[in-house]
Amino acid sequence: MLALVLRRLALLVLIAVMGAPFIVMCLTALKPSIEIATHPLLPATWVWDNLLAPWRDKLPLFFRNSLLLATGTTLLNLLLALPAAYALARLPTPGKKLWRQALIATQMFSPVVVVVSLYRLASSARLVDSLAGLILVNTAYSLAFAIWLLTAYLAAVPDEIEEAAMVDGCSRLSAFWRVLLPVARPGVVTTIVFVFIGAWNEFVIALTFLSSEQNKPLTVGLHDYASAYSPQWNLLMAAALWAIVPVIALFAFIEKHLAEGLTAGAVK
Amino acid sequence: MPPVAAPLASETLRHREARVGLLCLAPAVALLAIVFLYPIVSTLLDSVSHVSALAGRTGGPTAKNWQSILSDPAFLRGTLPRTLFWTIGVVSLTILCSLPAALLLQERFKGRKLARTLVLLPWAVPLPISAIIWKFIFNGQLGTLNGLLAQFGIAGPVWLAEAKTALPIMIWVGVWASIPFTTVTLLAGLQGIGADILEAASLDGANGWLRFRAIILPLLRPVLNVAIVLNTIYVFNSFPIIWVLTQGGPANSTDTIITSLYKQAFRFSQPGQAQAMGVVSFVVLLVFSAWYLRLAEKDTQ
Repeated sequence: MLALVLRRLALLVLIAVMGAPFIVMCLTALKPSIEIATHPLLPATWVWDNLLAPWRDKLPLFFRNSLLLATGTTLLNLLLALPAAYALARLPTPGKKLWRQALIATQMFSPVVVVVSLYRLASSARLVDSLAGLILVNTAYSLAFAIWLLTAYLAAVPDEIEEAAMVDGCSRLSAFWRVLLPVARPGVVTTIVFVFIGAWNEFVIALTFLSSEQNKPLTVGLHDYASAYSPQWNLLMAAALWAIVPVIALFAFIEKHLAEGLTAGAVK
Repeated sequence: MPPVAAPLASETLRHREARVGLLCLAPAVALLAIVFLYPIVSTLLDSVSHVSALAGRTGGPTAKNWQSILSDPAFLRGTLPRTLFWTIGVVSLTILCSLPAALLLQERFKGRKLARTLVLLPWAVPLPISAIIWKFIFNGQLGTLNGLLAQFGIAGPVWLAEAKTALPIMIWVGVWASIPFTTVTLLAGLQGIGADILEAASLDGANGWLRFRAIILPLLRPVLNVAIVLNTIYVFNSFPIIWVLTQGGPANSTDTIITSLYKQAFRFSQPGQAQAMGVVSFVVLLVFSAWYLRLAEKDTQ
């Protein structure tokens, strides 16, 4: 009995610690500026308008850029990853094992290690201060993971289903669109969410590539603001709250598949 | 493409399908080659060349970049061992916290789903945003921690402005950020072990620890290894937490190789030295990756 109580207590502590920053974020976001120094936890006056204030400032711009960046990365990624996964899962493509190992190898890599070379590559292609350049790099860095996950899902579809469609007169392409893809839908959705979250959260490449404020996504825009001499912490926390709403919503949406995704290739 | 192949033509069909397969792979491989291979080669060449930020490589090969980083005591006796300390510190503390967390979340109780979601949630949040919140919590004048301390009449220090508190705080935030991923991985591993074995080895009773060591730990070992290696790679590569919290300061006392190379390149205009540090990181990552691949191979067998 005592052991049980202790375990539940430990669980509560764990949840409190993991959630603490978000509680601080919400409470600080709702405080008037003068209370930040005097009221560490609950505000005395709740200023709900703080939540709207960032939208009258630069939040719409940063939000739009994050949205474009994450959507662009997701679309380009799928465009490249779906055929590649199809080749690895369902076609007699030569060198499958080699391709798979090369893909794992790229997953070990972080762009920050070669950031100087990436910057020069992008600037020689005149892609440095643009979302297009970021989309290309983000896609490359999430591609291996997407191919890996999609390959697993496509390979799990029984051969008979695809064959039956082709016997019925479907071409390979239409069998893919009309039969294979719908069956593997949970995998495609999980991949989309993972790639989107990854691009939404990316920091170092955006920080390095982008110089004009017009192009900055939320991560860089809020970082710039937080590094200013004395930021308005309550408004910054309100903006942070908005910045994480989309990823939290997506996260809740795929939570069931989270373990499969996170451990794709890791725990086989 | 014909809908169905005649049996006799199956050999040529196979050939054609193999070609289609390569064609389907080609666009992805092309992008990966440009974004991965070119920068790697370029980084290697840069590290042994005179490099200027604008003109790129000029002149013949030189050992200058390597000489300057290898003769710099701040790098050899500061940044390098600190990177090791940061990586080992964060990874070991993360495992130490995540293992009990996974065991607690594995048990059956009301609200388990919600509890899991809450523990895993920070994974989805952008690291720079989480780091900004932690930076506020540890802010010297306005931060939550010092605000709470003040209510007990304690004047807290300016946590992130002092070397002896900044590094432990950075490690703490690193652990906090690594727990969700590690816990999910270990939970998946526990699920693989199966409920009946876990039930039998339930931590209830006097010898719970013994059961954990004798039954659960050995079965969880492969997944635990993977979690350790992947975390080592992620933590070594980590940039946003350090950059947001301290930018490697005060006086470079929280720099790792990664933030140090970033500063050499984009703040001190020493791209050649930055690239040499990039090569050092690259070698470290290769060793970790080889370790990971060996584990993955062993696991699939």
